[in-house]
Amino acid sequence: MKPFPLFFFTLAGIVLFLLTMPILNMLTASDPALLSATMQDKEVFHAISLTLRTAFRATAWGMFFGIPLAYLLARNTFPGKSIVQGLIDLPIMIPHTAMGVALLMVYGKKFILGSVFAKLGISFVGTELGISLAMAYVSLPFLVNSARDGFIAVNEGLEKTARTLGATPWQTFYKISLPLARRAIITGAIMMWARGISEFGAVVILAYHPMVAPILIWERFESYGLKYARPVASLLIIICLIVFALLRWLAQRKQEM
Amino acid sequence: MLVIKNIHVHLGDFQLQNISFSVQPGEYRIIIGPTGTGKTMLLETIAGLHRPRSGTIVLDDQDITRTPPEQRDIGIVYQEYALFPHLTVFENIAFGLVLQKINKKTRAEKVQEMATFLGIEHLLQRSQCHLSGGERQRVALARTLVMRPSVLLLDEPLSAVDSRTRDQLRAVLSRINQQLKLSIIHVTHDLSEAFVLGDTMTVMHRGKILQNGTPKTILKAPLTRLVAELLGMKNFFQATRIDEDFLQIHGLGKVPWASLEKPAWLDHNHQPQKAMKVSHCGMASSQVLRLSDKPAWLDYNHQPQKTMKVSHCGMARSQILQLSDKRVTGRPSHCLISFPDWAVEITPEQNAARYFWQDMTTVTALHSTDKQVLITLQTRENGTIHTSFSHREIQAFPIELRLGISVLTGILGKEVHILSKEQ
Repeated sequence: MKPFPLFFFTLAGIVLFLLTMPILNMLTASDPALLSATMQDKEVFHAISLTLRTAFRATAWGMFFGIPLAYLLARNTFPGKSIVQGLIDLPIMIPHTAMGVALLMVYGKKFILGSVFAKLGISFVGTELGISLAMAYVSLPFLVNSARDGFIAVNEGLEKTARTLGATPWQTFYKISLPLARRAIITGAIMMWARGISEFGAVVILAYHPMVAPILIWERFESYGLKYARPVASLLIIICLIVFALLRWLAQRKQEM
Repeated sequence: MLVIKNIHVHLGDFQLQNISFSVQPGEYRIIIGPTGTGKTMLLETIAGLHRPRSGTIVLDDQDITRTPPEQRDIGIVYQEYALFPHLTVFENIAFGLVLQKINKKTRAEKVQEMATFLGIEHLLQRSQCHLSGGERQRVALARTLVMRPSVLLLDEPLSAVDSRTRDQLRAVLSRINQQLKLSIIHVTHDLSEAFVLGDTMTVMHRGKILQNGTPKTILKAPLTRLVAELLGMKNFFQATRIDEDFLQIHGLGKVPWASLEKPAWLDHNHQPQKAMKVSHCGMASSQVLRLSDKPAWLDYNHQPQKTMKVSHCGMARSQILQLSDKRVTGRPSHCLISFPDWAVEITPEQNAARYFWQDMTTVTALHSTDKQVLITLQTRENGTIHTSFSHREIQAFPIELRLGISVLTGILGKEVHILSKEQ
């Protein structure tokens, strides 16, 4: 092999090996008996299903509020646009525990929004809603950025043409912009959901209980040690891999139809 | 009829200023100008996609300046045949009909009818990834035409296709114009499109209209040097009228005044006139000025006049003033002569009858491009003439063109224009 491809293939190979090794190791090193016992453990089952559910809810919120934002960012230039863009990316940069503390200071019962919601009978501290909220905050950038790029890639001429063919702005968005950016939005939503599932820092501060899978893993590790944390982690990884592979495949297939 | 009156549009740094013209039912209007002149922006303003700061757009006696695009009854087709990529050919064409909630059967009939008219019925069930450029543009046209708009706006519809397809699409466009009796505004930077398709023409430059008229009248009498340049004129000469019969052209020499074709504005004499017709282009109806309310600039002629027809030509008042100034001047003592490079012939024989001017010139520059050879010739009076020939024409020359050789050069008389406005 020539030096150039050799160099690139070698480095790429090292990265891939390092990426897969911990996961493969964990999956193979788990004691099968312990793994099957874990699968029947009600607490583990609840934690995983809670994680998937709350992350899904966070993603739904994100799509409802984030897609219009993404569209505005794609179609408009306005003063301070880069500041807005920076604000959206902020959760990627700051430690999520800090984000959790910040959320607690706003959504806690004694604080601004928390007290308003408390009057409506909604509490975010130590509840499922709180978990979704924390997940939504830290994972929103993945959806917004992806959807924004998707909308940018939609030729504005198509939207303009649709308008002259009798489509209102709503119809144009629904029939042209949204379907054409769908792939990017779905990718963004999957990323956001995935990021939500893996969230630990912000959730642990806003809603330690009910316990999501990442917190359960941490707790088992703290209380019982590596041996008991590992099967839970393995299980979560297996489920996530299956779900995401399935989602990607579905999105791919729909696009080609 | 579409009447656009004093439109001003601002978009970022760019602006359209004082745009006025009108399009009669069935009229094919070409808007021509270099890229980046605001032609697309003008079309999108007419379609309702930009809101003008001032001015009005009136379609069939209805002010539509503030009407949203979906209610305007004006269709637009872009250069890059913007088909909806997630829909089949049929779904693309039916897009507007679906929005109108027209029932399935009527919809299918209308789509079929329009597809047959444009020769694309065999494509209806296809997704459009395998369509050629010409087919895509036909689908885009069908999608707009099936809505039966009052006005069709075309944004450089022929610039993205190969030359054979372009010829076919040109035929399609004139068929649309004639058989559907549809008003068309067609934006282009291609002169040949303007002359093949256009009933009327608007020359634009940097957001302003320079001249309105028919392609023929504008080519024969460009108002300004810029218009002449935009229409492909390459040679400009200052000229002085030395007496009744001769014109001294600086750089060429003395030519008989009679050998020049005069633009319409020069064609007057000092005899009293009953009525005077000025070409009418743009406004809804030409204005009839009575002698009693004649404007100040009309005072040049002390002979009694009955009526005088003047039109605004879609221009600001000052331009009419200047146009009429020319009438006052009548026979200019100074003027600018212009002609396009194709008016120049390099010829082996003397043929004074054919040429407005003929003399020996020296080849001072030869520049070969992939399509043609650009030639610069120097006259004996130190004037410079630009011309170009295709490689095939050069091959057929009786002599080999080299730098420094002398050639007999003629300028075709009917292609030479007096440019009025240059001082």
